[in-house]
Amino acid sequence: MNAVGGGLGAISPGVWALAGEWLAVLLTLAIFSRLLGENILSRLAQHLFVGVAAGYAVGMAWLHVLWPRVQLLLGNPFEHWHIALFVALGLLLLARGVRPTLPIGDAPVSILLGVGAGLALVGTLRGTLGPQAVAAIGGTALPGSRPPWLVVASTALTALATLLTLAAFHFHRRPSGVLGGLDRIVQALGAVGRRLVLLAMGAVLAGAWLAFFAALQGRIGFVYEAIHRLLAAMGPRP
Amino acid sequence: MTIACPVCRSRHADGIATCPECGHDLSALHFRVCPSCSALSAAGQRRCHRCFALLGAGAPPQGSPDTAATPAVAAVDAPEPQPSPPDIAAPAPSWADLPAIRRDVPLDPLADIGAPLALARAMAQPHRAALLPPHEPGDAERFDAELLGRIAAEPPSFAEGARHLRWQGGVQLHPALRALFYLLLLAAAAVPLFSPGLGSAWVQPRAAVRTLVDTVTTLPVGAQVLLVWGYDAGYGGEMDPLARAVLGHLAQRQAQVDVIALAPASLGQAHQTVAGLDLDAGDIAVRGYVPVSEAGWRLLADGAVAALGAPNAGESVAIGDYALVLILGDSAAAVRGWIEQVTPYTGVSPYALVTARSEASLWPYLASGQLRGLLGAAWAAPEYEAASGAQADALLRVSGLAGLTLVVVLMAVMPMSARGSRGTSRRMAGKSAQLGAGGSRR
Repeated sequence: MNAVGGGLGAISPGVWALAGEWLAVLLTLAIFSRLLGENILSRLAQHLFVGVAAGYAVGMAWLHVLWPRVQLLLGNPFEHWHIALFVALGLLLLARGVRPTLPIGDAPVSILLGVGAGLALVGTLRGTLGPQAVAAIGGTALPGSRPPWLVVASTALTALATLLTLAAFHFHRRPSGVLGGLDRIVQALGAVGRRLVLLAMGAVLAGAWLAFFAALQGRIGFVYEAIHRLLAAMGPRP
Repeated sequence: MTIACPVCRSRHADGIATCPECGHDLSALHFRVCPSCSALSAAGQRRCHRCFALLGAGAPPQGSPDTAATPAVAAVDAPEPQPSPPDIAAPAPSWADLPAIRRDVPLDPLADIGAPLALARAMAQPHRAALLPPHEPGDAERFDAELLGRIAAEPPSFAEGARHLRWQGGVQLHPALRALFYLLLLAAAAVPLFSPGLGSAWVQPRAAVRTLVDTVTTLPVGAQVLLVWGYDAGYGGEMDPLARAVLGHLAQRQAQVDVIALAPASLGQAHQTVAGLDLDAGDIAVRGYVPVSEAGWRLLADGAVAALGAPNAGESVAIGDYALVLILGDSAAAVRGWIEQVTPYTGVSPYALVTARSEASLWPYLASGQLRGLLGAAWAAPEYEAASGAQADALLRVSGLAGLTLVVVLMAVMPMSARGSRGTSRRMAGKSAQLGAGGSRR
């Protein structure tokens, strides 16, 4: 084992970097091969990605969260006693892995869910619902200085689009009467709202397209540079 | 007295052991036929359940009080020496002919409580059909079982779960055309490799980009900046050029940058990107990662980062002490977490530098003033480089965006033209059919 470790240690860091780079290049090409159809290389790369990502997350959590705290706890237990409490709660979570119905595993889950739900509720109210409602009522502040009529028009347009989009989700129609006529009007407005929804989804999709294209550009550039470096290294040296 | 077979309902003289019609054993079970109303009553009953007439061979003439002591079952066990012929053909007596119930006869309604229901005893007797023999599986069932066992036992293939969806309606591109689009897309992405910098002169920074550049430029020397890193290698292609440009610009201003990642993978990406900048290590400090959750954000707001996910944070700096807060995120959730959990308690509004796909969903926060700025990295990176004079990286890729625009236009136009030609051919086919029909009529 030591001989193996010593042998690996004798390899220069440059060789490790080159090997890692070309492994990344090959995996990138394996993913690209999906363009030619479903094949074992692309599936292998996907499975490898999922497994490595999970392992990497576990490793980083151990290195940056768990191990430093364990060291603190072992070094001075009286000063860092609260870490032991957190560790105990974390160990209780493991009980759910043994048997999901064990009641001792409920305590940490309850704390997690309760605190998370409470903070999320308050945060949503204070951070999103309240300010967004105030902004909608008080007028949408477009970036930059705009004339007042444009602000008013923007706010009115936003309110109208919101109402039309809400009408798009009105599916009930009463057969007759005043309410039936109202239903027909709302559904007619909903037809416009559905087109607004499509428009919004198109904008989001365009953004996603742009993001993925930028990622594609980055990968292609990476492969190109790796090949370029390899050719330069293999070429004749002065 | 007449009895009835419980199986075939045929009627026979009392005392018969086996039903001559169906062969059922009648030695232990009888339905007696009421001589008055022809209703069937269980053998143990003393009186008819319908008309209360006395049943049984030993029943005395009606009106005699001592007939109640004669057990009706006796008629079953003691067959009559000369069985009377069945009275099936006898007409049922009318209600007017029925003898009136005499009130002076002591009727005990609970006398037959042992058999309150006429069919109770019949159902309790073991006369049911025997169980069928177990079903032997046929060839088809054996084949199904073997196939199921094979499916359950065989190792999964790499293609398992692959699902090929084919749109049934509308225009469907020919596979060759689809392959051509893929090639064009790859070509568009590869254009900058062969024409670096082409079109970079056309890049004009927007006001939002110029505002961020001015903000960084006017930072005092040594100002503290918080950079929340919320993307991993999956979005490095889009986010890295902007991150490098901003970090390089901050380093020029000698800002003290604290980097906090939102996920383990983001932490690794931050380390890699910072290491590739070739800057003074003291200027940019990657502190660790805070688990991205409401509690993590809230502790960040309270300045308790060292207590949660960033043990190397060193001295805690209050959020309000940072001169600038930047969020680099691959999703809107990273920015929304700050807005909902940090801004309400600290009043600090960040700049959000996000992927292009997340930009649209964060516009309301910019409009409400909860964000100081919002930039989509795909477009903002070359603009930032152009505005700040940073080393060109994204600027060299601008020609790729132009190529993408061409490909998108092609993808939009060609299916429409295909649809138009198909519609034209349909109309032509319809007209020719009409002409043909007209011709045949003529």
